[in-house]
Amino acid sequence: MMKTMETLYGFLTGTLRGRLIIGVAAVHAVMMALFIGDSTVRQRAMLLDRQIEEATALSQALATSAAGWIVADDISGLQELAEAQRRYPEILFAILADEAGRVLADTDKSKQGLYLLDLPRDVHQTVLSKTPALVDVAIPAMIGGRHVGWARVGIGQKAAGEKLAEITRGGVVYALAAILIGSVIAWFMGRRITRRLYAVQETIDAVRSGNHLARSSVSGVDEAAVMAHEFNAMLDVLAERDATLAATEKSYRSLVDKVQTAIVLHDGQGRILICNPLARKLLGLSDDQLLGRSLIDSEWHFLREDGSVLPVADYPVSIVLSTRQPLRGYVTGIMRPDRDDIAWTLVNAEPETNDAGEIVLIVVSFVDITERRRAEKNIHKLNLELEQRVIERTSQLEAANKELEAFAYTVSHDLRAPLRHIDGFLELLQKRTDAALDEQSRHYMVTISESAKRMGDLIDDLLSFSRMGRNQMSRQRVDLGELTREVIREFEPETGNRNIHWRVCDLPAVTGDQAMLRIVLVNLISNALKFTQPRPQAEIEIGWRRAQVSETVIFVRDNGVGFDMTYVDRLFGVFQRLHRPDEFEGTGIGLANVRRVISRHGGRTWAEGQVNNGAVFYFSLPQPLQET
Amino acid sequence: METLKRILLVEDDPNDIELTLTALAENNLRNEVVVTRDGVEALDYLYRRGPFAQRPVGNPLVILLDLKMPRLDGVQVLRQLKAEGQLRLIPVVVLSSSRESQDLEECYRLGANAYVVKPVRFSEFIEAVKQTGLFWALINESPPESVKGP
Repeated sequence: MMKTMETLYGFLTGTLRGRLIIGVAAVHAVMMALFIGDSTVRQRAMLLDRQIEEATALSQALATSAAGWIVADDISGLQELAEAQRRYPEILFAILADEAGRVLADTDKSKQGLYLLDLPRDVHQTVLSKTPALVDVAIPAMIGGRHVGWARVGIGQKAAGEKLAEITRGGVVYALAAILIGSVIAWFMGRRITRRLYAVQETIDAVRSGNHLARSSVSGVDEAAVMAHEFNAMLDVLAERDATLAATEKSYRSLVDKVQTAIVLHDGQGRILICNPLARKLLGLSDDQLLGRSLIDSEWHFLREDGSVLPVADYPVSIVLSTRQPLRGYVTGIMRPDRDDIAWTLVNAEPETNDAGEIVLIVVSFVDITERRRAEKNIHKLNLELEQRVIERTSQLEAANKELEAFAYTVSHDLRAPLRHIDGFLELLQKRTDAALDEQSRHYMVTISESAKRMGDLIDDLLSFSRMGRNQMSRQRVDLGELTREVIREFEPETGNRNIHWRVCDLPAVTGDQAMLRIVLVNLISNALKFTQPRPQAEIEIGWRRAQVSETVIFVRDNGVGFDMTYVDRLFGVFQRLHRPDEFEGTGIGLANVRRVISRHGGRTWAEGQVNNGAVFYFSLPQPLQET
Repeated sequence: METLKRILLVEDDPNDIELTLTALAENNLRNEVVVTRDGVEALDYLYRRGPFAQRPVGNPLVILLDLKMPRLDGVQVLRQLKAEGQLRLIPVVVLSSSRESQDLEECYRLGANAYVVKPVRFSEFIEAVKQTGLFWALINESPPESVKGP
């Protein structure tokens, strides 16, 4: 019994249907109750009024009828009159009394002679009682304006009251019926409504049990339909989102699986969550052996770079967990139980922390660098070999250089001595025989002497040329402008008495060997001076320009005898001359030296000229232009 | 009257010796010139030993030293001379055909007082010898100890 009551109670209060029914029933009950209550009250009031009316009317009639008889003191007549009132159904009593209140006649005969104490004071129609049980009206009997007695009628309500009660009972029955019928209708209505709601619920159930394509088929324009429609829309959005998510997930999965880096994802305790195929391959383990574990079985080791076993505390994940910092560029070897060789890997481990700063994920990525290591070792070995070879070659070169030096030295010293003797004794001879010799003999001796000298010059030049190639070249900042001025000053003894017009631009500073560059300038200027000797006024111009971004070109222009461009290729050759010794002196080594020096600086040399119309000699030095 | 101090010429090549002596004579230098043919002889002379044990006492005024010689060459002589106490003070003029910078550097580093390159042209040679001789014999003040010999 209790169970049913509980279920009923639950149904009524918990479900929409129940509440609907209660609501409808309540409405009915309240309205019906009000209606019946109101109706009953009105009826009773009406009834009472009628009662009073009737009582009054009767009393009046009685008073009027009885007045004469009271005066006549006709008690029996009065009694008949009183008793005649009994024919009225609800009459309770009819009393006729004199003006003092003595009962003259009464429907209850026994009351004759008694006194009425509750007659009204005023001689006036008075309602003494107004209740449904008794309506008591007293009316004075008057004869010609004289108060002679009283008529008093009492009327009850018994029958009418019973009728009324019956009606009321009927009303209540109707009310109950209305409540019942209303509830039933409400129940059916509720069912209809909630069925539509349940239909939407079914769709939810379907979706939850896996059918993502289920959509509510509830149609119409009521709230349930609107809700179903909205619900469908929501399911569509969710489905779309799902699809996007699935697609993204697929992309990321592809990314993780296809990237050519081994990736292992650990949780905050170091246990393995995800392994990509390359990781499994490199580690030589399957998913069962990996997922969920933080340590691998004991046959499997990490190695240090030197080949010793790496302790667990030094595993990349362990390091990250203790330092809470990313680990990058960690080289470790993997010794797999199924293979003999060691796989060398370059490991990176990146932690991911939550808001509280705790590590929740560690992404470990590593690549196989076995090949690279092998290659590095090879390169290292090759480098060592190369270095060794370089050392050997250098020492060979040094030895060769030393030999050359010794050779040059010998040349310079040993060749000069005989020359000196030739010249010396020749001069002594000249002194002794000067008077005795004829022109021709003297000429011969002079020639011999000059040849010896020339040989000495050639030797000197050859030596200096070789030195240009051998000597260490320094790289400093050389102020060409300053150097030029210096060189020109040094030529002053020769040029002091000549008419020379110098046009010298402020040459820039360059990077190179000061001594060697000086030789270049000396040679070029000396040439310019030499070949402008025939000119009344020598014009020598020294200038520069920037050819490309990284090249400085310097030139020496003169208005001397120039040269034939046909032979321009021979200009810079060793001992090559374009003039005869009797035209201009010189060994032809100057320009060869210039070319050698400049080419050691990485530059070029070239020249332009016209016979009898001057010449320009250029040389370039490769470097960025510096501020002077 | 003091005897004019001697000039020591250390030179191996006979032709060079002849030319140098001629050049010195040309300049009317009255000093006696002693010639030693290599480094060993030169040191023997300076130390008054061996074949020169009986030579007159007194250090030379100046030593004209050639570099390239057999047995003991000029550089070694120079090194020995300038290491010693007594002989260190004798002015040494290196006379060489070589203008190589390493020779120059080494000689000066060892304490040579002068370095003259023997020019190829005899006339220039004579002039060089004349200037050298004049300078060391007449103009230069000798160090005091050279008056006394070993």
